[in-house]
Amino acid sequence: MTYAIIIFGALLLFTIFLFNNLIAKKNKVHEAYSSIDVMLKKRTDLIPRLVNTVKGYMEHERATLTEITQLREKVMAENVQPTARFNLESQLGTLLEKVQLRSEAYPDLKSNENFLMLQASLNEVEEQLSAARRAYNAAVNTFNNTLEMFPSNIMGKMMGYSQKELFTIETEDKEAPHINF
Amino acid sequence: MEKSLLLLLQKAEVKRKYYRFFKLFYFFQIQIILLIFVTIAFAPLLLDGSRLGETFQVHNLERYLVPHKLYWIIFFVSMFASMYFKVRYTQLEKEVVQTIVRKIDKRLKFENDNSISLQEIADSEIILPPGKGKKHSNHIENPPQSILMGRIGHTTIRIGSIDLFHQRSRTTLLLVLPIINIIAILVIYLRPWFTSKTVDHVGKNFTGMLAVANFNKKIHGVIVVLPDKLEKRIGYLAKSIQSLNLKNRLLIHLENTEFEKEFVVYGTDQIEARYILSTAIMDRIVALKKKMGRPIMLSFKNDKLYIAIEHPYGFFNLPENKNLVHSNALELFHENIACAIGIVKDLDLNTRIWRKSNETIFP
Repeated sequence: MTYAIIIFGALLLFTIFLFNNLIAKKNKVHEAYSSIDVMLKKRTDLIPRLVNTVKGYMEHERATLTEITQLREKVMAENVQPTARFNLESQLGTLLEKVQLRSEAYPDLKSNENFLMLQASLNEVEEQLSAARRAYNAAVNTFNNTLEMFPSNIMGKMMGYSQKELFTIETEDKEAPHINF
Repeated sequence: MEKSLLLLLQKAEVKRKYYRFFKLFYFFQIQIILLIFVTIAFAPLLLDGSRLGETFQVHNLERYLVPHKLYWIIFFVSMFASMYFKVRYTQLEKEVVQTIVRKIDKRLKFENDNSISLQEIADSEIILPPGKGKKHSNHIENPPQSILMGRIGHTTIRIGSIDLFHQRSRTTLLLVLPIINIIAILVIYLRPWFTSKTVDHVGKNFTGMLAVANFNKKIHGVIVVLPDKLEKRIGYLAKSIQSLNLKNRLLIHLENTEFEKEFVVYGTDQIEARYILSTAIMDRIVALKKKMGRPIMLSFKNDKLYIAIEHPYGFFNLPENKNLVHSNALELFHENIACAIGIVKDLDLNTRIWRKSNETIFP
């Protein structure tokens, strides 16, 4: 009887550990996801200042700047689904990179202190965004590994958890922007 | 090689040979003394009472009195000779080091009898645990060594030679002496019960170099990169074991497999760790480790990058066991210094797209 109680107690403790471990890992994924959101918000906030600074100099890029403003408005709209939002953010990232690369052709802009500050901020936000995406992928990877490994896979199935998708960069985002001067 | 430097090297080599000879001779004599002490201590166990009396009779001891006196004379002469030649050799070695270092990079200033502060060593969190520099300054010492400092491009760098002592480690030297070792054991194990000033044993002796450079990104927390000895042996299980030894730090698992095989990363924030350790800098750290050919430890804190590398003879010192004129001692020394200065280029610290180029963190 004593042995049965000990074995039952140990099993109970082990089940509690598995349950809590899965919950903690799932929450880590959520936390990492929300930090991507914070970084994207930071980048979106920088856009109006960037557009205002460069529009006087980059006359030939008016179309790109308009596109950036429109994309920002779409991102800021209240009812955008997360997947659609990440797609829009991805397009926005490509366009911002394009603006930064094309700014090389405008010496007056390159000597503008305000633009240099904004460029540094944008670079920093992009780096932080990349770090947040990597942190999210690391959290997802740990969560997925736990869901696949024995015996936590049994607990995962009982809790109705499924594998989460890793953050991958869209194909057009991966390609280096083509520059025409 | 310049004629003046060659002359200096030849002089230093003569002093080094004398110093090495007397040092080894003195060490050999200590071994003999220890052997005699051990023999006397164990004699009662090996001999019976009557034979013990015969062996240690007064007239028997008198037979050994003259050689015994002679032995002590030789012992003290070799001890003082070793000390004298060490001082002479160190003086000449300093001159050689100064001449070479000043030639390597004109932008940097070399200062003798100056070193990176104990507090800053503790701040790095790679040689001493955090806070220990201040808390245990009575027990940990870093005698003034030498320092190389200056500005390379936008980066301010200080490269210091570190020779860290722990009081505990000094006490352990006494453990090899008979009788005294019993007292030493009593002091080590009983003292902490009677005093609040205990020595933390986490810190260890360290001889080598610590470089402090201003980093090109803002750092709010701490990221520590240490050599990973466990991962090479037990693979992915290493992560589970390493996560047990954290002390308010998170284990950061990075996606660069080659980097993960060589290093283990602890930090205060998962995202910041990845912001600092970008994919490019991870590759550069792995390349730097290969270039240095020995384990390297890094930390990122207070907008500074700290790099520590162990050098058994000291960083601004020439290898004691190598001939200074005919061996590659000088080339190795030159290579070590050049590699340390090259950290700025190797880790691309001059790229300042994240902060203003004229920003500096040193007063």
